[in-house]
Amino acid sequence: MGTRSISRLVLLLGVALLSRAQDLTSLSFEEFMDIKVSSVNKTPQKLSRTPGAVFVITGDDIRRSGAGSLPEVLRMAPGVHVARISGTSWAVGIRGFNGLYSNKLLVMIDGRTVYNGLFSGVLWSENLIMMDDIERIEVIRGPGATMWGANAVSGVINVISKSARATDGGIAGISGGSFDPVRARVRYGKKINDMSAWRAWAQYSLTGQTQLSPGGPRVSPWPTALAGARLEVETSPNDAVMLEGQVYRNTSPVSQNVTSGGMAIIATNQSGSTNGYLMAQWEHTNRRGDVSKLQFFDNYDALNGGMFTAAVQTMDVDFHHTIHAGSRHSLILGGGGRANDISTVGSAVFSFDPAHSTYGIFNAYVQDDWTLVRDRLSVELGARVEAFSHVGSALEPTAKLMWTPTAGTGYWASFSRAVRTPAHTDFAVRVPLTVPGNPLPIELLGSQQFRPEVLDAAEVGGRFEVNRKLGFDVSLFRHWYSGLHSYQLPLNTDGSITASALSSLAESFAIPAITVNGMNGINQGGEATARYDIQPGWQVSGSYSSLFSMTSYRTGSSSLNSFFVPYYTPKHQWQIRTSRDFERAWSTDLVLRRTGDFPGHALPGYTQVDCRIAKRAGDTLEFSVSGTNLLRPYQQEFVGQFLYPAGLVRRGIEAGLHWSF
Amino acid sequence: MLQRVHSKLGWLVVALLLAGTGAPVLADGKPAESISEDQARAGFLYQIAQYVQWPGAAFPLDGSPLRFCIMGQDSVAANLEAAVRGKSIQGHALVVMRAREITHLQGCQVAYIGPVRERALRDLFDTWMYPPVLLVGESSRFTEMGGMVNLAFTEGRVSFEINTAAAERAGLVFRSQLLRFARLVTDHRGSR
Repeated sequence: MGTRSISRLVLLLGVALLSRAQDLTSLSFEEFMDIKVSSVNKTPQKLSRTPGAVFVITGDDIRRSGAGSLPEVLRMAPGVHVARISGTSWAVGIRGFNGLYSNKLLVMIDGRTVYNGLFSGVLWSENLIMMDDIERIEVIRGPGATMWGANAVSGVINVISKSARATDGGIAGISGGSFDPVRARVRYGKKINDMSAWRAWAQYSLTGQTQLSPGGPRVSPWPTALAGARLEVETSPNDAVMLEGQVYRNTSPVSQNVTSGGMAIIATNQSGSTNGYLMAQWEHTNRRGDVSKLQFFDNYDALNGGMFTAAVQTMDVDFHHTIHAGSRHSLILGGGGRANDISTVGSAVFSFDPAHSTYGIFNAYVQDDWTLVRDRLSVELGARVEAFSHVGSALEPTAKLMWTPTAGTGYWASFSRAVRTPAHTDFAVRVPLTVPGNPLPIELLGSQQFRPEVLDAAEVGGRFEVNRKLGFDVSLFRHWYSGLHSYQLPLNTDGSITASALSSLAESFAIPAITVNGMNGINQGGEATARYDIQPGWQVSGSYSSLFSMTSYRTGSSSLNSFFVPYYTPKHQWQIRTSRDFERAWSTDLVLRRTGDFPGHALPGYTQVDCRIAKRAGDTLEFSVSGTNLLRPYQQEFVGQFLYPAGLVRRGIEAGLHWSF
Repeated sequence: MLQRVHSKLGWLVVALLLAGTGAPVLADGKPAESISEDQARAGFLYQIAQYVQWPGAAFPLDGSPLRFCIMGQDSVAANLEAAVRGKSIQGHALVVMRAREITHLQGCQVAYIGPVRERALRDLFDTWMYPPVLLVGESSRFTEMGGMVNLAFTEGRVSFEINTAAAERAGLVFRSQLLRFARLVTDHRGSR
């Protein structure tokens, strides 16, 4: 929805903040030359004035991880739980409610929202991008709905690509190994003149598939291909235009019959999916430095889920304008709209009623960054009104306070509300099922009465730059959820089935389990990170995240939910990373990570090690060898999901070659 | 059991990672009052402009403002705008502009060109006729190729090179106090 990134916030803040650090214009030249300057690449420092829990993954971090997909690099961020359910399906959640159908997260790539309107979640295997061209990923924990809009509930992931000017020249890379067999990609970019530049890219990959048991049959790898291009033109000294498009295709006719939890289901890979997008952005900077940005994108996604097919078309327009009002206020005003057109073709086991629907969202928002005491105290106040075509409107306000007693120390606190947009599945799904231990067939039914899920969040945090080498970041949160998705069974108070449901049983051969807003929950916990630069070229960082979750059902609503929509997030996670450059262009990266027990011992906790060794030859070639999940031959990372048995991820040993020209 | 072995192995790796990194952590642990690089760039541009004399032709009218044109980094311009608000240098009001192409630098008094590739610099200096514009850059061969001031950050402080020959070509004079702090270099273009 939004196109803003934290850097813009930081930039806006930066204007008011220069005087905060020191008035550089009042110094003599001699004094000025004596001032200490912190390194520009230390993003934590740049973010030290942002009132929120933010973690930045840099392009360099991504390159050094050797990762081929977004979920793999998101493991670096605190508060994020990443688990590979199968070769091509991932569970990625921030601060709880993680599962294949995680839907409380907003993921944006260059301002383009990528969650699927069918179920409000992200199909990670279908949102492949060129990892080499990512400038950075900002991971924001906690709600960001005022700024970023619908679905920015428990967190926001903001992927920001390099500009075409920064990718002048070509790269070609190939890697392959014991789990993911091949990833080959090529990109070429060129500056046309001072005002314009373009780049184009293509990637082909075979993604490894998990097994259901160590000796079990392996499904053949999943082939995907993508190609895209971007053009940037500065049409005047004050105007910049960007156009980008990409097409993606995977082909996998594989399906298998699986018995899981006593329930015979057909587990199919999403086979034969095709998607593509086109986007356009226009940015205008006026003489006073105020920036206006207009963005449009059209995303088309045709899914073949085996049991159903769906075509989802999303069209979105967003506009925002920043104004520096005096030296104390920085205002952002914006608004936009989105249309989601969804057509499905169902089957006897999975269908939608209605099969075709169009949904609209419209929004308007305003936020003020207000400096109360120069150098020391500022507040962010904002609100967004979001109107949904089927369910009315919602208000998403926020208030944040930032206190910086010294240049290297900051404390912040915030209160915010965010809502999760209802998706087509909430309104229209129809799935007849037999539940183990239940003699009567049940039919899961979507409901037009479903309303947005609501989060109220309180957060506090602090950042401490002990010196230029050592920094800490700590945050604590409490998230109150109300009206979460659940299924309601037609039961009398004594647990027997109501007469009306029994009569419908004769008609539809199933007891209806209707989608309602019947669950409430509290998630609370905290995250802490530390970073230490031992010496130039050698860093160590670590993080710890905790999450405690409680849910309760409203009367009559059923825990059927935990069977069909199982969410799991470990109570404790920690990791330690070290990256070091050696002489003769060798570099190494080592990660030790621990994922704790899932609540209720649904899955035992595990510790894993990833590492990578690379050697550069000249300025243009890099060879690497990397290992993932090194401690065991097989690792189960998640619990089986509705229609998706959990697989075992094999240990990966991979070799790569990267050439820039 | 297996689980416990792995957990122990995990702690062993932690211990190894931390070994040899622990002691010096807090040794120099004074909280450092420091500014960002972009703040430093902005401060530097303001500071250096006070030590430059422009020829009369640089300002069409006596009351003409002194223009800083920033090419490349928006946050340098934003920081500079905040820093110079309400200030003046040598009686000239100060204006910060964002330049998107080289031709826009002609009418400025101070031009800052962020880190760029050598090819782009070659394009610039091939056609640059040395109007009275102070060219400040931040690329390894900036002064060598014909720029006037090259900014760098070494060991957490600002440092810079000055190419007086290039300044002379543009009719600019550096006040001598400035030269004490700079490394003086020259290019091989000769006078025009």
